[in-house]
Amino acid sequence: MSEACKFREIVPWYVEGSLAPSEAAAMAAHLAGCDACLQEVAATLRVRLAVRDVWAGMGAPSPDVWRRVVEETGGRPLARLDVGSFLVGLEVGLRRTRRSAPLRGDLRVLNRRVPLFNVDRKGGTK
Amino acid sequence: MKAAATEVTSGDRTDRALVARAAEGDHEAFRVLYERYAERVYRYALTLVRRRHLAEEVVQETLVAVWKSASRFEGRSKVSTWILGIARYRALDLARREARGARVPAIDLVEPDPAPTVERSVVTRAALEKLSPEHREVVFLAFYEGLSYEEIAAMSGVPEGTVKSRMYYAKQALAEALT
Repeated sequence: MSEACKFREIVPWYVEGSLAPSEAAAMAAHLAGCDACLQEVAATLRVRLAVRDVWAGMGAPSPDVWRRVVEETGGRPLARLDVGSFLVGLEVGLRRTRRSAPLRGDLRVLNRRVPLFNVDRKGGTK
Repeated sequence: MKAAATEVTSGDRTDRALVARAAEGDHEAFRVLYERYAERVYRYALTLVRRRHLAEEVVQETLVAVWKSASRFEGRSKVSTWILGIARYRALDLARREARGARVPAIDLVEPDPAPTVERSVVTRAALEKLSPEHREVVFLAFYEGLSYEEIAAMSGVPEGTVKSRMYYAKQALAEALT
């Protein structure tokens, strides 16, 4: 394999800007004297643009996915109590998941949450 | 807890801080993570499983796994590569299960979007479809996620040379299709 071929393999990452700085510098120096790799850069840029367009147009998961994730993680809120002020407060929330109904309490100090308890009907206090 | 929880304030919205907050049970932080990553995971999954409903299953399984394992995130990699790594494992596992059960024969990656498509987009989609999943994956991770070849190699569990050669082959095939 020639020296040019070694550089040619990393052209995609040079174009993307994800090479290590030292490797990117070596690539830039190489490009100054290699027409084949310069053409490779141009071709790679065209490919990159085309595939990014395709992936960008692939849409997103449906909102149902988030609903299913919530059911498996946080569950639906059943009740929430929030007392105090911006400076200090207490938050208690009861949620319902597929498997349990965890009750969670947090002390809120200057918008920073400190967990007090997290009681799961099945698993007990964590 | 191993997660990077040193700056866990509700105002800190870096990925690492969000993971640390999720590890403590903060569902709002988790929701922000979902909003940041659901589409990325979905598109990555589509490169591997190629069917939209399966890609949605991958998104669901991946984000639930993120929630459950947030406390074990050690911060040695970027949050994005950690999440994409989980997605990769889930997608390949789902693809294997699908291959055994052969639940759905249709491939919808090449179906046109409802939005108007241009010729280049159709040609590119078809060319991507012809690549193997391994080649399509490396193109996605390099050109859409911006991962270095070292990161792709670590995530895929293959040597860096394999990543480079897969990319070279895939890019040549795509370039030929686009000329």
